[in-house]
Amino acid sequence: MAAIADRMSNVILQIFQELNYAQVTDSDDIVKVWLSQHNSPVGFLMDGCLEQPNERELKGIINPCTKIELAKVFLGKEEDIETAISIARRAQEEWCSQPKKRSRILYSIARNIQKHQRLITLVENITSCKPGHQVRDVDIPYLIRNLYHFAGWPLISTNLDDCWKPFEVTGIMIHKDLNSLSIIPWRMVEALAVGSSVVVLASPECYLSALLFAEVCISAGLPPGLLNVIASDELGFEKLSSSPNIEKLVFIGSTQMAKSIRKVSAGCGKDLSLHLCSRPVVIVFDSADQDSAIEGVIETMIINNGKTGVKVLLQESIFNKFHSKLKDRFKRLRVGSCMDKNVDSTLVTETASKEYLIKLVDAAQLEGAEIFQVHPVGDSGFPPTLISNVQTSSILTIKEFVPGPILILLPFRTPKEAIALANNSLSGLSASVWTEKISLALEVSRYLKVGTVWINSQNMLDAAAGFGGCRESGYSRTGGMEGLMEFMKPNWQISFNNGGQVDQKFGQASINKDLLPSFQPDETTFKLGVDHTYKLYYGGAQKRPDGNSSRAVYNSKGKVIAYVPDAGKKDVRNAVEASLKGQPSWEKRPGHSRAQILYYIAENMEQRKNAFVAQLEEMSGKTEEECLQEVDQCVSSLFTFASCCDKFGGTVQETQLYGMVITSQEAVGIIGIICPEECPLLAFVTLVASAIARGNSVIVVPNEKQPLAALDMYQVFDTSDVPPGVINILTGSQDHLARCLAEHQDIQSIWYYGCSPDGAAVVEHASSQNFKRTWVGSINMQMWYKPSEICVKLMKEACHNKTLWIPMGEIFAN
Amino acid sequence: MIFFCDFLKHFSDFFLFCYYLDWVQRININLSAVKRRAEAIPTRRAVKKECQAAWLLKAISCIDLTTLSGDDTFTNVQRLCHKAVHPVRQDLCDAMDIDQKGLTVAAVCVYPARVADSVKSLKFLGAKIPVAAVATGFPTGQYSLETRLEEIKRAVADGAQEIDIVINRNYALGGNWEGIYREVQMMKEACGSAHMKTILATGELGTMTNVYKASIVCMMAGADFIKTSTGKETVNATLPVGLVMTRAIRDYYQITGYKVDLHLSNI
Repeated sequence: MAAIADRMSNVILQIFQELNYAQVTDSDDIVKVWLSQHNSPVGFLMDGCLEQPNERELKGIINPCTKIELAKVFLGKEEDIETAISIARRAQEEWCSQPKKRSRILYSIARNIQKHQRLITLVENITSCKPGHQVRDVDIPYLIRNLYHFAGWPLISTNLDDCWKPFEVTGIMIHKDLNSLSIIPWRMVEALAVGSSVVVLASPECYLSALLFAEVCISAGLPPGLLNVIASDELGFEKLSSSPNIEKLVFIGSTQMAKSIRKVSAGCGKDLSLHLCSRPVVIVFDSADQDSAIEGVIETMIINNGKTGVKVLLQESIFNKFHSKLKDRFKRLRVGSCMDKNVDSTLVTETASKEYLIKLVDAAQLEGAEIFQVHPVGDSGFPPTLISNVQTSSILTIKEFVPGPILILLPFRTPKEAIALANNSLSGLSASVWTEKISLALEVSRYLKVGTVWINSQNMLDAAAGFGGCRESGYSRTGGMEGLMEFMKPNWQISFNNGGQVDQKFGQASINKDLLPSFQPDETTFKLGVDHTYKLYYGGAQKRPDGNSSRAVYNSKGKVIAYVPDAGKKDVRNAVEASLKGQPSWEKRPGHSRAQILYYIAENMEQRKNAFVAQLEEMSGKTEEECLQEVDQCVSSLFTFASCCDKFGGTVQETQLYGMVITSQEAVGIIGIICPEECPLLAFVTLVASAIARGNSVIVVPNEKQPLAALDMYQVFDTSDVPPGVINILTGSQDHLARCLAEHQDIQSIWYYGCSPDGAAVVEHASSQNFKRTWVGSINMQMWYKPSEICVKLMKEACHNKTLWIPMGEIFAN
Repeated sequence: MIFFCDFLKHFSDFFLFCYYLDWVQRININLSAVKRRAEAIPTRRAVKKECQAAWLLKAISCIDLTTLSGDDTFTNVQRLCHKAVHPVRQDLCDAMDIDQKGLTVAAVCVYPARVADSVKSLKFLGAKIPVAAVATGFPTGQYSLETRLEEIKRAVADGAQEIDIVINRNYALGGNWEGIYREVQMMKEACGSAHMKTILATGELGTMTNVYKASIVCMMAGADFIKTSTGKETVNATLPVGLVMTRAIRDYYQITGYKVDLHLSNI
């Protein structure tokens, strides 16, 4: 070969010797032509055509890689948003009654997307600055798959149609922090598939992609008005979130923005789906295929343009070897412009993010971290960075995400420690687990607090499998039946709307006259001759309230019939502690064993039927017959939910993966429940039974006015072998306890069935602190008597879905 | 004394071998992850224009131009040798501004009985292209060790500068890696100064983990090249197999500092 070298002296020779890559750039002419077809500035897509508004603020859309302005867009104002909502509402009426048409049109959109793949790829490529391979090989194929998948649903999802209906108008907000084409149109498609119409607010950075997608939909025959796209800033997002004319909101973006959306929408009776930026975790065990794991780590880092960073947990025994291999791999990464076909990753060019990243890295360095960068930080941007020797106390580890391709390496010693380190985060979207030991992989997956686990793989999505997170990653799911159900609500659900008023004084601790001794003698004491002192019930024992106060309970005639303890913040904390102890082993029990206990509760309740009937009669003033009916229904509902213990474990999803994709329905954790006034015992039993059936523990607040029958239940629980900490009952001011529960960081969900829309607003507002799930509203009284009809919704609320991707394959030849 | 030194050398060799064999035994290869990586590789780089030409020329310069048929005769072997010396047409070379005389394939590969024909033809052409001979009971290896070693010696004697041996699949599937190590060592000795390529016959090894193990054991036994397959198995060189073997070569290089070459056959 040296002989050839002597003779060849041109460019080809040089490449021949060095085997290097040249920049291969895609032409973006087609994008320019597409943009030239639009007026400048670009308007809004409303009612099937482009509207040019007057006197709106303008914003330039800049290609982040080249810094060249691509176009100017108008930013929508409140009136534009309201117009879009009313247009969407009009169009929806016909749309929701035509499942066949919906199916045909979604199918046609899929076909049309395929026809315009090149343009869509380039527009996304240029505006998001993602490397071309990601848009071309990930985003677009997923989008097309998604359309085909959901095109089928309108034809077969009719079994839900009897008791569920779509939200009329869905508002989808796309924030610049998470401009992934793979997830944004998914939500639009799901909403359209169930028969909802859509108003999209896109931040200018994501506007062109959203607009182009909508244009393709219209060219595919989507009736006008069903998909309206408006460019908007954060102010517009807040306007949409507090608009009284829209019930369903989807937000895709940063946690910070989501918090303000949660706050402004609190109390407006909105159903909120959040998909938030969070950093994935990769756990590599010594039993892993290390070279493959390294590729997995790299892919996890560069997906979504490295906008979240990645946390890698590495078993101590392979730490050094893996670390040096990873460094070698970093040296082989090609970084550069998003238009270059030969780059693995682009650089972070946005000034604010870049400076923030530099600051983070400098701070880590001061703490003793080792920083490894192959490409220097320069004017061109912030490069992929490998950081080791970083401690769990470092801000780099604590952040729920970092806005750049920063890979942090942390060592662990045992699987248990790996789980603890992985869960030591406020967010929880996805994790990869690398090991060849199937039992280890499955056990670790089980205890990771995330929505998706990829075993020996990474970044796989499919329209048939749910994708989403928990905690500060947002708890909504896109994909499959789970995704569809987010755009529907049960007919019987009545939502609270107080116009978004959040009263900061609501539910603050206060002194009430009920806490004072009454001049009337206590009727029960009078009747029995012996005082019956009710207590709080948590940790499997009866406890006195921390505040040492009790409040009077009156019967329907206004007589004091008992005193119940008045619980406060400290009691809530104690109850949460008790639940934290009791919940894990309760969840771990097989469904059969949980069912046995629920049956046992029913059995014991049946035995004390007469006492419960008498108590209800006394407390509510209803007739004996009505009370008997309620208690009978309690027993039968307990049977219904006992049978739910082992029938909602999860499903196998039909994705494109060669392997298994399992959605397992796990417990949510600790659920705070506020009970309604109607059916005080039945609602209490229904809500508690459905929650504990799925392995949750509950802190339940019986109705403030009628708590007695529910309090009597703790003796039933005690005799029915309910383990300590699984059911905890607190009585007192419902408003105050609702606030305390909603503000507590260790509670994962609140079911607010209290009486006050103001309370609902406060619960929703406070939930933004740790993004706990909320289910607020009220329910038609008759529905408590139909557990089989409300069961689907209850099970949905009682379960946290985790999607497990398990690829298979060992056979490749003989 | 000499005997004792020899003994000591073998003894320490053996310990080293045991140490690495233990490491080899613990290796894990995850096929599905390897496949995903293999699918991604071609999508992440593009070679166009001058790069495309140069990379293609490089590919040509790495080819072992081969004929392995029962009906091989002097005529087609001679034709093959001519092609080996002039792999790219003159007008194409002119267009790329490269000298056709400089560009040849890496080797000519034939059955042992045709080595002499090849050597003769190449000598006539004045080319320095090495002749490679498949040996050791190619393609199955299901012959006695004695005759397999003898084949190597005869081919080298006829002028072959490279020997493509096949590993013992009976041993590989039975997990007798030490047996493979010993055989390949003996084959390497029989090769003398000729380069040894070890054909793993990956399509008959069952799992990627076996492919990796076979790669490492052959490298430990002195292979100059590790080669995917004979071309006679139903599955030959695929990208995932190539990836696993490359990773084995990288691991071996990181430990020993010795870079073994990779040969992909029947792509």
